[in-house]
Order: sequence, then structure tokens, then C-alpha cells
Amino acid sequence: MSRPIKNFVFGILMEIGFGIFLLLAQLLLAYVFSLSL
Amino acid sequence: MKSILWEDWKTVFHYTGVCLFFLSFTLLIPVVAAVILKEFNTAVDFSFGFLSLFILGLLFRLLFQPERDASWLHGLCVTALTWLLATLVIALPYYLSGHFNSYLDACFDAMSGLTTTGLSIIQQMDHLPLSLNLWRHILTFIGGQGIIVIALIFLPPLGVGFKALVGEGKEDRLIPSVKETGKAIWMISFIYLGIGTALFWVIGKMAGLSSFWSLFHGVCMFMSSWSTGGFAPQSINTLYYHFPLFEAVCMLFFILGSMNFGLHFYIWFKDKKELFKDIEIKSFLATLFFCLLLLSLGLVRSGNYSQPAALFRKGFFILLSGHTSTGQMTIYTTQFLNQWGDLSLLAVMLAMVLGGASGSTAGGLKGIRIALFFKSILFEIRRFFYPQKAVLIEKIHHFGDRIIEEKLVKSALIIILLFVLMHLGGAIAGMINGFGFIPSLFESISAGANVGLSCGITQASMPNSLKVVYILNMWLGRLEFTSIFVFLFFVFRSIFQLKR
Amino acid sequence: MKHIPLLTTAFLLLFLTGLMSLSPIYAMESPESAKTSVSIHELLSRPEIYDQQVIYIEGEIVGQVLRRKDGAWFHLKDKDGLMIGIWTSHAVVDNFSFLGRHGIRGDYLGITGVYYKICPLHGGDTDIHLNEVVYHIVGHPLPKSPVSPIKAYFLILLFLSGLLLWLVNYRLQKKTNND
Repeated sequence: MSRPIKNFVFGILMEIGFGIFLLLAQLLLAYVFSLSL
Repeated sequence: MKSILWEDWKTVFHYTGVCLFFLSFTLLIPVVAAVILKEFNTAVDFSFGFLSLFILGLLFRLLFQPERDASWLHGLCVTALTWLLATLVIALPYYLSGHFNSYLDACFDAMSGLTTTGLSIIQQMDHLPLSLNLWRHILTFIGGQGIIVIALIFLPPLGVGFKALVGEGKEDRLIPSVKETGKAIWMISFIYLGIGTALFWVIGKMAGLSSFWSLFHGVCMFMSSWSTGGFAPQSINTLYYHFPLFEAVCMLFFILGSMNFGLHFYIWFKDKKELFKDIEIKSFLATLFFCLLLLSLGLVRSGNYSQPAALFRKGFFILLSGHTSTGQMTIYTTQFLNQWGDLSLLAVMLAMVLGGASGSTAGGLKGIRIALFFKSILFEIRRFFYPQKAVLIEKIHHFGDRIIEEKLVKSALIIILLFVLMHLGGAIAGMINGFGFIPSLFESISAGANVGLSCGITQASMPNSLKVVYILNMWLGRLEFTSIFVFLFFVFRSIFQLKR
Repeated sequence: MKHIPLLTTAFLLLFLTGLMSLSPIYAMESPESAKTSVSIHELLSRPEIYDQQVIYIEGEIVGQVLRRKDGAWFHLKDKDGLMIGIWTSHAVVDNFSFLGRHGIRGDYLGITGVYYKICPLHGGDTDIHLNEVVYHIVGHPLPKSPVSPIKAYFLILLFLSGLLLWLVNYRLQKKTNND
């Protein structure tokens, strides 16, 4: 795979990873808030 | 002050015609879909729409030849006029379908789609022809990218292109050439269209849909989520699927769709670290956390959605939907007022007002303005800790370090104030029509920030005056005031000059 | 001896009554709720009355059936046009003939079930867990309306106008390019 395409694929994966991370963080927050509030 | 001459109007009309001409070809998509699905009445309705827009665009191009170079004034007026005329003509096939009580209702839905708001007053949504249903979602996809971008790809490299882009709030030039910027925006969207549709298709099948329906719902829900539009193929919106993983994928695309297109481009082709450095991402995370905390306080203490799963699927989903100005819902509209309580509603309203990133499909105040606002407050406080003659500078990181200049802060504050006034204006209109303060404010914010969440006011039976107000709010919010105010002033000056 | 037939008959009647009282219909609902259909708007507006209660609702099946491992979802649309999700078994949904959408009038059902404002089993969804299908009217395809002749004439007119305009534009552009 050429370098620009590799960069571009990694970029998409990074964004999707960021989105999934944000979702998991919110899931964790939901647990924490529902227990502590 | 510059006088408005007939030559200026010809320039504006000509380029409006170009935009409408190219936009008309998108209406062939539902025509083809309707023919394939054997929905011939719908095919005829959309053929009317295509031909009307095609003819209008061509007429403007032929009758009005530009006699002077396009300036900022012309570009902004082209943006405002294109959106308005496109709405009026796209409403035609909607009205002919018989699913709207009046032409005004059809215009409401067209404007809602084009501005990626997502408020709807369509009748019998669960019995819509598939091609019409599909088109409503495609319209949000087109509106999210900006209909000006469509024309940009085909327009000769004139200055009017960039000026029209600015009129739509997409002033971050991804690449030096305006045309290439337009193409880059579409490339990003189409790549995600492929990824998103595939993901939704797989998850739709897991949810129990057949292959065909999974694909149909997948395409529609991707477009709705990515464009932060908020439409859904069925009347109960995202609640229809009863599947947490489906909702999670929707949330993923809310987040990605509400990111600046420039940021996507930067991460993909330039510097991946921009994802963590960009001020809008930091601003979004901070405001999201704050609103989630407020929301949770309201919901958990009221005893509603106190379980983690329910809090996430209902509370957090709706809040994220509001913050990214998507508008998808996993509850019924009336449940907002019956079950949520004032604190939770306030959290959602705050999130809606704040909105997503600039240069994205999202609406609201935008992350950059919120960041500028808070940074300038901090800056004012910091000044007292330095000698009077000291020269202080404040920076933000947004595709590189930028010094915060006074005129930037001034411009951000003006837009913030205009948004606040618009939301209040819409709330007053709601109250004049007999609705309470909180629901009126909620609905006004939803329309003006192009969100689409509803607490029950938006229905076919609502007063026509309120429909007009919300249409104006959606239009003003999407174009962020400047192009519309410039256009109205353009019209006013022309009339005033004629009278003299 | 002569009382045995009488006693046997009485015993059998009692036994049958006892059997009927075990049936879900009589164990789960009060006769009153089976008579009047409640609207979805009513359920949403007054959850304090209806939450986790057995209700009776009527409506048209719309949308698709979502089959899961342990059951299935379908949706009923009532006369006010509101839709609600119904959770039930595969056996129930296997009996559906028509699912309402464009061009199809879905089966019309009257059902009893437990309404949940925030369902603990389904992550907070507002739904109904089906008890029994009280009655079922089979749906039917709707007749396709032909394209209106007036629409067709106007469309042809519009098409010809568009074609003419495009030809004029094409010729003008060609002339400009030659100049």
C-alpha cells in the first residue's frame, strides 16, 4: 500500500477510533452518574 | 455606500441560476429510484421538481448575463437566494405526493431537509413511497455538504465560488483551490457513505431486518446521522429499531459528521495529531461533559432513566443528538415535557444552542465561537495581572496556531448575540400562539440551531404563522445570518434607490 | 348413588371454571380494559395511570417485523397516527399476513399487553409486551392509482419547454465560443 493511501486509511481508522472512544467514555459516565447521582 | 444597480442583480440572478441548474440534477435520483421501485406517481412528481428547477436555473442563466465581476456582496446574495428558491421548488414534488396538507407544509419539510434540521410535519410517514422517503434523507446529505459546493465543482474558477462558500459558513479552505475544496468535501462524505452504509447494513440485519430493508434503512440512517439531519424512515425515528448497537453507530456518525470537514482532511492527509490539538474538539468535549452532567442530575434524580442502560440510550443519545444538531430521537416528543423535568430539558437546550464544529454539517453557535468567547473572557481577566503597557496575545489552535484578534472576537460575539435573539424571537412567536415558555423556547432553539428535536409543538396542525417563523429560523441558522442580512439589505437598497 | 351424576357434573363444571380461571386472559386483565382501546397519546400523556398496567390497544401493523433470538418486535399505528413497538414471540408474528407500508394496508390488530413507560427489559424503551391478540383483521394491498392525465400533460409541456430552453442555451454558448 502506498504511503498516502496508508496515511489516509489510518486517518479514517483514527477518527472512527476516536468516535468509539467517546461512546465508551459516555457509557462509563452513564454508569458512574446513575450510581453516584 | 455602493449603489445597487441592475447589473448587480443580473450577476446575482445569473449565478443563482447556475447553482439551481446543477442542483436540479440531484432530483433525478428519486426519479430513477421511483422508476426502479415502480412508484410511477412519485417518479412523475419528482420529474416535475427536476424540470422546474432545471428550467428556472436555465432561465436565470440565459436572461441575466453578468456584466460586472462578482464581489463578496454578490456571492452572499447568491447563497441566500439559492437556498430560498431551492426550497420553494423542491417543495413541489412533496406537495404533489399528497403527504402534505399545504404547500407551506411542503416548504417546511424541504427547508428542514436542506438545512439538515430534521423537524417534520409530513403526513402518513409510515406509508411513504420508498423513493420519496429516500429522497428526504438524500436532501439532508446534499444540504449538509452545502448546495453551493455542488455548483462549485462545476463553476469556472470565479471569485463568487469562495464568497458563496463563506455565505454557507464553510470558509475553511481545505485546499487553495475552491473547486478542489468542494470536491474534497464530497470525497470525505462519499467515503464515509460507503463505510457507514456497510456498517448499518450489517447491524440492521443483526437487529432483525431483511437484507433489502437493512440496506434501505442503512442508507437513510447513515445520511441522517452523518449530515446531522435527523430524519428517519419511520415516524418513531430511531426508537423503531429497539437495538442499542444501531443507536451506538448512529451516535458514532453524529460525532464524525459534526466535525469540521477541514479537520477530516487534515487528519487524513496532513497531521493526525490535529485531532487532539484542535480547539473545536476540546471545546466540544468540555461542553458535552458539562451538559451530560446536568442532564444526568436531572434524569437520575427525577427517577426516570436512572438505570445506566436507559440513561445512555435515552438521555445521552438525545443529548448528543442535540449537541451535534442531529435531531434523532429514541423517545416520543411528548415525553420531554411529561418525564424529563426542567433541569434535563435545560441541559438539552444548552447543548442544542452550543452546536457542533464550524465547517461541518452541524448547526448552533459552533465550537470555535464558544472557544473564542471563553478565551476572550480569560484574556480580559489576565490583563489585570500584567502592567497596563504590556502587550498580551492569546492564541488558539485551529489548523495551526492563530492569534486571537479583536475583530475575530467581535464577529463571534455578534453571531452569538444574533443566535440568542433569534431563539428568543422564535420562543416569543410560540408563546403568542399559545404554547408555554419552555416548549416554545425548546422548539425555537431546535429550529434555529438546525437540530430537529421536538417537544411536540411541531406538527401539521400548528399555526401557519409559527411554521413561517420556524422556516425563517432554519434558514437564518443554517446560513448564519450574514448572507441573508446582506441579501435583504441588497433588496432594500434597490427598492430605496428606485423610489428616489 | 343417585347423587353421583349430579356431583360429577358439579365437579366437572367447577373443574372447567377453574381451568378457565388459569388462562392468561382472565388472570392478567380486568374485563374493563379489554373493551375500550386506549390511544398511544393517552399512554404517553398519563404514564402514572398506565405504566406497567395491562392495556388494550388497536392499530394497523406498520413497518417491518424485527426478529430477534428470543422474540420479535412489530409496530402498531393507532387511529391518531402514533406508532408503538410491541414485543412478542415468533409464533405471533408468523401469523401476520400484511405489514403496512406504501401501497399496503397492514393487518389490523386488537391486542392486550403490558405497557412500559421505561421498559427494564429493553433498556428503557417505551413499549408494550404482548399478552394476547384479541382480534386480527387481515390487511390487503392497496389499488395503485394511475398517473393523473393532467399531471402527464403538464409534465410533457414542462419537458418540451426545458428541452427548448436547453437547446437555446446550447446554441448561445456555441456561438459565444466561436466568437
